[in-house]
Amino acid sequence: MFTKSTTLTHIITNYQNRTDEELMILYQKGDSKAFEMLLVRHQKGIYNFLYRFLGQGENVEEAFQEVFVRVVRSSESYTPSAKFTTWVYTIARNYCIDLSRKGKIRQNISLEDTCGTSKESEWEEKLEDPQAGPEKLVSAQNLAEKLEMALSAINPDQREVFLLRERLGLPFEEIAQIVGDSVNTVKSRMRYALSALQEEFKKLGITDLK
Amino acid sequence: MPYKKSLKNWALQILNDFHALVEVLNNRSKIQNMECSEFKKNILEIFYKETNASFMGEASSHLESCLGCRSEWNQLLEIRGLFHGLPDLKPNQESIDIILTESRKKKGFELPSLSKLLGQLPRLGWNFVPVMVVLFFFISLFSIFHEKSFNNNPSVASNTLGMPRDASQPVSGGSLLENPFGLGTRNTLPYQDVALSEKQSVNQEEMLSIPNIRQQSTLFTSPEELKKRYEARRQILLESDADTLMMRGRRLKAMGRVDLALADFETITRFYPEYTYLDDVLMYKAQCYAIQGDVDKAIDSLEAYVQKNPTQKDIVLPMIDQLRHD
Repeated sequence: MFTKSTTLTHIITNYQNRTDEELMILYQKGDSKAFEMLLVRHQKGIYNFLYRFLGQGENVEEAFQEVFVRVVRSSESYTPSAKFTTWVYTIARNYCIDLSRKGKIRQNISLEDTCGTSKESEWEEKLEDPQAGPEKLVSAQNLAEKLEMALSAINPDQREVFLLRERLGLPFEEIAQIVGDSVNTVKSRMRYALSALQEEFKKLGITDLK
Repeated sequence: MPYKKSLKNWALQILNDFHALVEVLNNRSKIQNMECSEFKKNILEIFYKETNASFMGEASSHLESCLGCRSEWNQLLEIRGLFHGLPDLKPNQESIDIILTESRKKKGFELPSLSKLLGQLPRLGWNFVPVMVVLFFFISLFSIFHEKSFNNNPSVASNTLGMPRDASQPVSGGSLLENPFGLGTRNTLPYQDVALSEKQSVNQEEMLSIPNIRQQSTLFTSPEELKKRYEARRQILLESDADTLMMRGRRLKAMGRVDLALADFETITRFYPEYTYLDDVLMYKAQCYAIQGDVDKAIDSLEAYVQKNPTQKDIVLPMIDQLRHD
């Protein structure tokens, strides 16, 4: 995945039992392999968060790089008292806010936008079923697009809380630290997000969920 | 009295059942009347299991009986199911490489600690010290006797002309301007090979060995011998440069660029006074000046030629007279 598979195996073997905070401390001391382990663990989460929060395919790679570069540059200021996930997602969120202020994020995506077309191969892998016909694949792709559209349509504050809770599994308390609000506010946003998503589903005709 | 005992037991059984029923009814009403609002208020905590086990138990019981809360619960499950079906996207390998490069740049390469370095050294014990001393001694000797400035010697001209070697063309004869003394009939070899072979102080063996002089040990060679070798090599390099200029000058002269040819011949005369074929150069110079109409310089070149080759005096002097009269 990185240089050689043996290197990745070595990293995973030696660092998999360490917590994120321990890895970060090791990286602060100069162990670059610890950072690679952190990257292995959190790259998907960060990338998917950015992808679904930003709503644009072409900026995501740049955002992903920028977030982790900021993590690298801020590594000296990290203290183990804060959870690593809280810290890194705060960086990611702040970057997204910076982008939104610069007007680089579209709030809504049109029907023509195919967020998932560049990831068609992933869909095919996901639906790797010998008995699945092309109709099922197309249906899944359409559903994914509609879900992305529904997600892009809701309020960004609600969207970020929903993504952090539902996709990344972060507890409300940690989400509150990331967004800088109270737990009750976060829960309230989550309720609104769920309610808004249901409304969007109705608009988009997402009724049959099976 | 068995009849009375069984009756008593039956009554107790009924009473117990009644109490249980009352308790169930009470709990049911409690759940229905109190926990519905409580359930909806804490539905997110329950759904994401961010509450204690007893409350989860109560909520679970409530769900079994409350259709309204169950409906709301199912909606959350549906939303979860939908979004969990979305694929997890992966970043490009290029992005990962950029991040890793940045992380390694940030930290630089890991310098091993001194203890690690010492641990990796071969364990020679006290024998390591004299070995290092002897090694240092030989390195010092080598640095003292190693010739460092040869390449920086300004008298060794670098051959940057890069002119291809060309066999001299046989010329049958002619006037001074064409072929004085039948130079073209001497040989067909390039100048360099002739110079090297005729040079008395250099034989083939030495010629082959000199280019490898740097590979030879200089630790036990006397300074005089070294000087002799380097001087010989220097001469070869000088001859090589002069040969190149000579060939180029002749080619330019044949092309009619007498001015450029003269420049090369003058360079040879000035910087390579010990060139083997300097007399040829002087003759070519005389030809070029004669072509240009500069009789005085042509005569000077011929006179210099005569000084180098007194035996040719009888041949050259008439030429000088001819130029003067022309």
